[in-house]
Order: sequence, then structure tokens, then C-alpha cells
Amino acid sequence: MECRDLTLAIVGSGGDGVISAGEIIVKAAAAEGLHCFLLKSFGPQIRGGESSCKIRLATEPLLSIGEETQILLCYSWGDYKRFREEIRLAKDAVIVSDTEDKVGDEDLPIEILGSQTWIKVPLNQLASVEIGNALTKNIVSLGVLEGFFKLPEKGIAGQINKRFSKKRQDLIDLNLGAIAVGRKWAEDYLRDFQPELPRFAAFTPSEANLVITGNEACAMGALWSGMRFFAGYPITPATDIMEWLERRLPRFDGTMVQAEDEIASAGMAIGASFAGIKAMTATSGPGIALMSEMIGLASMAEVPLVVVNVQRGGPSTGIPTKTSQSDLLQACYCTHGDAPHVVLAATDVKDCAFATTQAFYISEKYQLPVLVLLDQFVGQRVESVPRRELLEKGIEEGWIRRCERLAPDAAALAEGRYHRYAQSENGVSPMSYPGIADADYIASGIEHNELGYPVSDVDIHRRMHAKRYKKLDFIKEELKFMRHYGDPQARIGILCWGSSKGPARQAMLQAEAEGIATRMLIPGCLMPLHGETVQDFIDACDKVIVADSSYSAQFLTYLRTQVTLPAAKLVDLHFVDGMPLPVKEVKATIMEVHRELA
Amino acid sequence: MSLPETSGQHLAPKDYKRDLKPVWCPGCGDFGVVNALYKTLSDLNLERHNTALISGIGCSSRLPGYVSAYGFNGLHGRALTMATGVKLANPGVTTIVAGGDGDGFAIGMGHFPHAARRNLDMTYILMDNRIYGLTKGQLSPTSEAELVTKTSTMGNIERPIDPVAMALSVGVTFIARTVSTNIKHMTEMFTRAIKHSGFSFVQVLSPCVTFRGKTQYKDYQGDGVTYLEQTGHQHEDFGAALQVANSGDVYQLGVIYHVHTESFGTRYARLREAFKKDRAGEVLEVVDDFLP
Repeated sequence: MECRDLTLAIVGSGGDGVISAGEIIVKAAAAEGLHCFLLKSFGPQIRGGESSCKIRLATEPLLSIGEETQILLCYSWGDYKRFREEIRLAKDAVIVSDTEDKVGDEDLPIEILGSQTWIKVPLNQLASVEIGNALTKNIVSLGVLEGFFKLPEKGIAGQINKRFSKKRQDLIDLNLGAIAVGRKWAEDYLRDFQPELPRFAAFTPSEANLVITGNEACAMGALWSGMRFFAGYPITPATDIMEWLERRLPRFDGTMVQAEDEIASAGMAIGASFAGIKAMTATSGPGIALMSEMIGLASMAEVPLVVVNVQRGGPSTGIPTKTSQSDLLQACYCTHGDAPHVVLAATDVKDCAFATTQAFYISEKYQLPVLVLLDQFVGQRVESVPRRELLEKGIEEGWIRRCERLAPDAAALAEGRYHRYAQSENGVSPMSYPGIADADYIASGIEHNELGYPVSDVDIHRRMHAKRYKKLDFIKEELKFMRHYGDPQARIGILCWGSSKGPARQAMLQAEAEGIATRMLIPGCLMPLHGETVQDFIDACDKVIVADSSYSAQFLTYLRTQVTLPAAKLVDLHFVDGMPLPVKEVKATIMEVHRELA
Repeated sequence: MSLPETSGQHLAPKDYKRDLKPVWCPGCGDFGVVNALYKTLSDLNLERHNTALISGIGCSSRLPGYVSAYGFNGLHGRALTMATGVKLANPGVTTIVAGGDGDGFAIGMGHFPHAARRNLDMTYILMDNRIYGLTKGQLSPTSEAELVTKTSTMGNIERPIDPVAMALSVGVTFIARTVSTNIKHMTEMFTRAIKHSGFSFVQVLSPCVTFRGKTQYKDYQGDGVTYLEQTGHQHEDFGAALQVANSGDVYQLGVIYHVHTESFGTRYARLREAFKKDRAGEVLEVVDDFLP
């Protein structure tokens, strides 16, 4: 049957080329203007362990990886066991496995339903014997998938050419040959057995989409903002940001340093920012814990700083390779004392760029630290994004914009003493940096007066607190991060944040297809939260579903400090961290709430 | 380092003094240090707006507040990290790190080897009083064995670390030791340290009269010290330097070790050129890296 939306999963282990196969499919699709998602998952071993990826391609823009997998390509059932929980096969799924699989049919780690189609393909044999190179197994598989499911042939051939273009032509020919062999085998099989298979419908190729992860989008957003100093420490799942910037920052006269730890990363970024350069660091939950003192310093000394947290399963070492939304409270309350700072969160890959550019805008304008919350789910997944949506529209709509710091007035400097922390209407003082004459000052974490001189006087302390806090009042109004979705008249409302947007929105659309109206509010700026907007939303709904991926319902806990949530209205839908919001259960809750209200 | 070009008149030492009264106790060795620093900055004719003093927390870390230049009194133990950021963001700034033995060799110890091995072009002045002054008299990593302090009332059962030996082992390219009572010597050491292109480290034996009494002053004079210029010490010789570092009761003062290797800044500048050869173009065009 023809379809315009296909989900596949590929499972294998080191050497099978699972990930590169997935990447080729996704890039091939994007190259022809299709929309796609790619999620990768690994076993704990550093090399050679199990790996899997989930791919979705469609002719329409996508919100999530989808609930059920229609096609499973399994190189070995032994590796499949690890990913069983993550790969839910559709009732009519098609399973392609290797004829030579070591696991016997009786010992399968899965129950193959009668409604599912299972095709055994001699993948290893085709690669090793017919082509003469076992390493081409994944490429042969691509040919098989093309033959069975009509994956984009032209795009895949294009990717093969691109991948091997720096190597020898004979390698390109070998791999194109491998595709041809796989495709022929599939076509022969179809002719002999005629199974009922989903076939990707013919489509008109259009302008290529970008293929990008959330981490990459974040790094690029920072570069666009004028960030030219990055210090970081490797930590899963944030390391990609540092590695992407390592090559690109120097190209634009910036500096990237791998620091000795997260504390040093933040310290270097603060030093660079003090010296006049836009600076950032990126880490995960454990790193934020280490940086908490530094974040307080940036707030107290009024030094612009952007800190990205790509959240992972916690607490402590937790599950480094899985996603989470359980660093929200940490982000809001990370440091001792009353230290005003901002917390933003990205909802999808494109938004990772926008949240970062906004973070720099706010941080530079208001001279305080801004935390940007991503998570493993959005940070490491690949999405296709139309170039126009990211770049041109980003600029048009004001998501991508730069801000330079308020500079000291030259005439004022010439006159007399420079007051680095001078009082002002919005709490922001003109900021100098080394190089500017007659504007030198000592920045400090110790309480200080307007001149920057250390004080312990409580009245001055109160005055300086007020100055630093005032900024938040202006930031709250300045931000355009409150996003509304769905039917503005709906009685059922959903409140969630970050990457939960995708699955929640997916559930909303499924409910809408069954005639149930819902609306959703996503605060992109969690701190300072524009409480009035959230309260209005709650007041207008009959029921409000509060959802996140944290074991202790952190989002609900936080909301309670900001707004009034009547018990009769509240539906607490929090999930354990370690996985994205499950679409099925959000939809089921919407339906149940709808039944209650009827 | 090639010192920044200066224009305008020559500043006197007093022109580098800020109008903030130091919190230090009368008799504190750090007064000597800051006075030698004023003299050094004047002798080198460094511009106030192109000089930055970075410190952590502690009595010694208050020093930037008394110098008329840019400064950051940051977090305990983290001065080297912040100074790294300052120097890399603005290589034209003469970057001087100042702090005490607790700040630098207890909590800050983890950063020292890395700042050293990067050979960043900066100067680290350690005011070593072998005690914690600001918090009123606890043990320090450089406190002598058996020393009685507020946290070692029966005597210190730990062995002290020798900052100079530490510096040698982590590859610091300019190492000197001096005393806070000898302004002329300190000025000479600071001057040579700042002129050194790379990471320079100067340990200043700087007494704490309040929590160590006057004994340290007695220890750092007469037969208690030897000036290395008078001994024919070969400061390019690692072995000789190591001997001097571990020289027991007599404090060896002067330039202990001095070699020339490329600074981080020089090497990173070369890297930049290599990366630029890869791709040119506007920053917005980076988005095309993601075309499939």
C-alpha cells in the first residue's frame, strides 16, 4: 500500500553500519525535499556494542519520531533485545532479518504476530560472497529497502557519491553496486512472493532541507549571535556542541578551549566575557551542579554568560545516554543566595538555535547568566529543517538577533569616576572591559557598591539586590517565548515545556482528528516566568494537563510557586525521566479528560 | 611577551594605586607585594586599561582592589580559569593572577597544572603565608609539618607541598621565589616574570603577622635565605632547579627556572590560520554545512 509517512528502525552491533545506514536514508530524503527524523540509540560499550536508529520520512513536516515502527531491519536478534522497549512494532509491521542470524527462530526475543510480515534476506551472504566485501552489508540493505519500500533511490545514490567522493572512484562503484545487488534481490522476491508491503509514494522532489541535530543548531545559533569564546568539558550528551565549534570558532577568529573540568569551563567563559567577548559553555546536569557557584558569580558581578544544559537521565551519573526534563528545578535554583538569572528552553531542533540566539541577546543586554535547557532527545536527534525556516524566517521574526552591551559614554568617562554598577531604570549599567581607558573597575562576587568597591552594609546590599532583580521585570516583558497551540476556545489545556512539545502536539492532533479540541501553552522562558499569561490560560480551561519527563513532577512543582492551580482542574501527567513524553498516553489522558468533562 | 605599545606619559608607582584602604593587618607581607607591583607596573610603563589583575578569595586575593587597573576578585581557587578566559579573549591585556597559598594550592590546585602546561602568557604571583588568614588561622597546604593551627591544635600531621617544586613538575616555564620584605628583589622578579612570554610563576614568601606572629620575618632573612644570582645557579637546567626547590631550611631566592617555549596564544594563532584555510565565508553561511 502507498504511504507518505514511513517509520523504520535498524538494529545491529558495531561493524554493521547501522548508524551510517540511517544517516544515508535521512540525508537522501532531505536532499529531495522530504521531511525526516532520526534518533540514535546505543548500548553502553564504547565500541562494538549494540546500536540502533529510528528513522521517519514523510512528505509533510513532522513533529516526532512517531509511535510505532512500521519496518524493522534487524541484523541480529541478539542485539534487538536491548532496544525492545524503545522500538514498538506496528501490528502490521514488516520485519527484515538476516537469513544467517545466529539466534534461532525458536529463541526470538520478540513475538512476531500473524499480522506482521517477516522476510529473511541473506544480507551477509550478499555482501560477503556476491560483492566480496562484508562491510557493504548495510549498503546492500539500503538496496533491499529501496526495492521493498521505495525509499528515495536518487537521494541514496547521491549520498553514496558524497560519502566516498574524497576516496577512490572504485569505492563509489563498489557501494553503488552493493545497492544494485540489494535492490535486485528485493525485486526478485517481490515478483515471486507478492507480500503486502508499505511503499513510499512517488513524490515531486523539491528544495533540499537541512539535516541537523539540536546540539548543532544550538552551536550554530551561538556562532550567529557573535559568540567567539567557548570553553567546555566533554560530557554526554553535550560534547557534540564543543566538537562542532572546535573547527568553526577559529575560522571566525574565535577561541575554543577544552578545559580541565566544568568549573574551569565556566570560569574561562566568565573571564572572556569580562574581557569583552561573548562567551559560553555547554554541559549536562552534573556539569551544571559543578558550575553553580560560577553562575552565582556571573549574576553578582553582572557578567553576561550563556550556559547550555543538554539534560540527561539523573540524578548523579544517572543515564548519560537517555533524555530527561529533571534539571528544571536545578536550573531555576542552582546557586546559593538570591541570584537573578534566566532559564530558557528549546522545544525542537530549530528552536535550539533560536533559544540560543535569544539567550545571547538577553544575556548581553541585561548582563546576567542565561541557562538554555536542551535535552538528549532534542539535542542528539536529527531533523530536517527547511533552510528558509531556520535562517531567513529566523531573522525576519526576530529570533536571530544580536545585542551589543551597553557601552560607557565616552564623555562621562572623561569627566570622572566610572561607576560600573551605576543605578538605572532597568537595572543595567554601562559595561566597560579591558582596553577601554578610564573605565577600569574591579568586578567581584563580593557585595559591592555602584563603584564596585566591596561593602557589607545591609542598606547598600538591599539597593544592589533591587538593581540586579529589576532586570527580570524587564526581561519578562521583553520575551516573546510564550507559545500557544491548538484551539484557543478549547476547554482542555496542556502545559508542558521543552522537547515535550513535539509528542504533546502529536497527541493533540490525534485527538483533534477524533473531534476533540485542546489547546497548549509552552513557556519558552521558564524564569522569569510570565505568570499572568500562564494564570490566564489555567483560568480559561476547565481542565489543565501538566506534563513533563521527570520522576518527581518538577514542572508541576515549579508551576505551583508561580501560579494558582486549582486541584479540581489539575491533571498531573508526569512521566519518569529517561524517555520523551509518550504520545499514546498523552492522547489517552486527553480522551479520558474529555469523557469526564462531557 | 612583547609588551603593549604605550603612548602618553609615564605613570609613577602611585598612579597605579587605587583609593581603597587595604583590609590587611599592619605588618602584613602583602603590603610589600602590592608596593613592588606598583613599582613594576611603572617601570614597565604598562597602561592601566590594558592590565588586568585576577584573583580568587583570601586576604591576598584582595590585591586587585588596591590596583588602579581592571580586575576580577572572583571565586576561591578559580583565578587561573578566569585569567585564561581574559587572556584568550583579549591577548593584548597584561594578565596578572594574584592569590594566596590556600586559594592556589588547596581548592585551586586542580587548575594550576593546566594553566601551566598550556603556557598561557600570564603571571601568577603567589603570596605564600603558609596559613589561612581571612578565615582566621587554619592549616594551609604549604604549612610546615607539626605546625599548630586552629585545625591542627596538636600539630600538623600532613606534609606541606612546595609550590616551586610543583611548578617545576607541571612544566611552568618561568619560576622565581622572593620575599615580601625585599621590594627591590620582588620588583625585579615581577618584571622578569611579566616580560617572560609564557606562564610565569613567582612565589612570594609573605608573612602573616596576625596568625603566624613575627617568626616568618625572622625565617626569611640573614642566613635563612640565599640569593641565587650569587650562587651561579643555571636556571635553564631542570635538574639544578629541582635541587634548589627542595633545598631544606634555607630559602633559595631568585629566578629558579627559565626556559623559552611557545605560548598557547602563539600556537592557537597558528591553528586559526590552518582552520581558515579549510573554509572561508560569512558566519551565516555556516548553515550550508547542514545541506545533505
